[in-house]
Amino acid sequence: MATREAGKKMIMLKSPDGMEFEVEEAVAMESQTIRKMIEDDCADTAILIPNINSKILSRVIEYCNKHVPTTGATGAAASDTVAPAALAEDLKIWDAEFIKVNRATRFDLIQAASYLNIKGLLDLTSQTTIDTISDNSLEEIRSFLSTKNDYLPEEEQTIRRENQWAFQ
Amino acid sequence: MTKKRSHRRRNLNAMQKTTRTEDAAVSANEDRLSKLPHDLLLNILERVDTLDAIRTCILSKQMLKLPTMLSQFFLSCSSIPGFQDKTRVITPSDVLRTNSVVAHVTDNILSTRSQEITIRKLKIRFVLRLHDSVSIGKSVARAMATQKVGAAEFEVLTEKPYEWCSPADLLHCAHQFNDFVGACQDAFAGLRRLWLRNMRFSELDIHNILSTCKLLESLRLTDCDSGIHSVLQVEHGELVELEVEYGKFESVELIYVPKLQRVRYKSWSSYKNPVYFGFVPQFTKLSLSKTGVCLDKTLQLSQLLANVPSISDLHLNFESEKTWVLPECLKLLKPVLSKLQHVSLDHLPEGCDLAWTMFILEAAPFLRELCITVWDHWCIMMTDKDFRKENGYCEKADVKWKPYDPDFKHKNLVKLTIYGFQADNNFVRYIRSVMVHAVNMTEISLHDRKVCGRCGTLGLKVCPSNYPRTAKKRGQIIEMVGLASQQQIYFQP
Repeated sequence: MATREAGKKMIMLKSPDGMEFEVEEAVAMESQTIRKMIEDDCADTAILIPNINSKILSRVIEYCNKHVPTTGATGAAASDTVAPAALAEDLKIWDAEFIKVNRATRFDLIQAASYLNIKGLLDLTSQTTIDTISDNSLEEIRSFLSTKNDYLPEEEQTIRRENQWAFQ
Repeated sequence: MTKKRSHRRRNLNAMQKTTRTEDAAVSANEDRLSKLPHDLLLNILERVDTLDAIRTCILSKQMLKLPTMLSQFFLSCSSIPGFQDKTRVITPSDVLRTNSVVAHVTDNILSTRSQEITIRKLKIRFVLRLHDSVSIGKSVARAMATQKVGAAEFEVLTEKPYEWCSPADLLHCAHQFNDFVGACQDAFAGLRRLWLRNMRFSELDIHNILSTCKLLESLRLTDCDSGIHSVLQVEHGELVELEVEYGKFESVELIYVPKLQRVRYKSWSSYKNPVYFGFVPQFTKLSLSKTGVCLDKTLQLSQLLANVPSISDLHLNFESEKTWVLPECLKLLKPVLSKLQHVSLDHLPEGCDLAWTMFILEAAPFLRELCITVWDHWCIMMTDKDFRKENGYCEKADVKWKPYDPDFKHKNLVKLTIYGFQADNNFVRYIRSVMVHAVNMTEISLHDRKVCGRCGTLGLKVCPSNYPRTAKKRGQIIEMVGLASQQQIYFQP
């Protein structure tokens, strides 16, 4: 959780299960939804985030914390400072670690990213979902996506006959 | 018949099995994907090719209608389940069967989709077989007439890859393509992007294709030409981007292409300038790539770019062989490089002096970024000594160059990037000399050699990299280079 730092404006985010998260305004504004609330002055003290439980909200904040653009301090030459390109590479690796979650959490994150309008997170979660699809047989796709076959046997036969190509 | 039935039964069994294990594993989260709102599902489905999207949606009644709501389509004859699986052998007949599926599904989905949703993107990759192609062309033309279609794109493959094509095959493919264009003029009239392969046209064919494709913004020709030493003349009102790879054109003449911005040309086979720039007032970006042999013409940028002083990005790839560009003097070059901002010199042979690249700095006062990649890239190089000799490959040699004014100052260069940096005098001397001239440079980014997966599998012996890995060695480099206060060196292995 974020701690208060001098000179940085903080925002309180509340999840419906009663948890409160204090985050820097800049971090919260990674979400276009929250940005709009702040810009429209609807966010004096705390913002209630409906539908997103504390577990998911804390992950989302973790993501935003990492992705908020840093105003780089330029100092003297040093061999271990990181150039922007390396930073992007580092973020990619971080993202790949971040999204190693179970399917249920990933779907929750998709919904949270959509509601909060965080494009990067929505892209990451959606892309990860489809990466599990490509290269798998139909049955594997079904199991990966937990898509339930809700056809009656006769219906299934018809659908298979009409779309035989998809079952080859 | 029996065979088919048993196959089907096996499939069903497999499915029952996975469904059972699935039930046990995720009973609580069952069917989560189908419960996502439509727009989120579509966002996910638009990331896969359309056949895979349909394969996915067909599994559930609720999702069955989703493909009709897609706004982006990518239909591909390569969409064969397990295509990327190296153990699966994909036969030409798999591709041809999928090609017919692409034709069938294109027709089906374009005629049943909900028409209020604009098609933002419609990309179709298919093998040039007249029956399938015409079916695809007609479906697309119908969609263009009745719905809003944004970027429509054809990527046309041929039944044989280039390596198997005889000259007669190349002529035949071009002939077939002409028939296809003739049969589907309406589709081509609305097309935005087109990629053709393996076609040897007759003299006026490409001209006719371009006049049919009135809205074309991007044209890519791979192994296409109008015969050996032919000339490709381009006159087109909408074309923004042209890519030519291989082929036997003597030259590409961009006579009247008012919206053209980018040209990429790889491996021309002419001994003259590969491109002639006519009326191209919007032109900004040129990328040239070639394995040069001794006999090849050394290009003079002052001649090549004489008509395009608007150029801002220049990318030259020497494919680890001869440096086929002449470091000309300031007076000749300055008029043509006055808008240049980004230069990338790629695949320069290892161990050669880099000083000559300074001619660009001298002549391009507004250059902001210079990127240099030094790389003997073994898997694209010819290593057989006899072959090299017979085909006139050059030995490594430094490019000769003398500075016009040893004290000149460059005010705008802010970034120098080097890939393939090695801790040796050659590189240190080069960086120092750039820094002396580029007085406002802030960032020097030094990378190790690029890594190519294919080179690794070939088991070629590459001498170990001398890239500085420890803090101590990096410190030494920084010391040797001698940084000013506003400058930083970044090491990025």
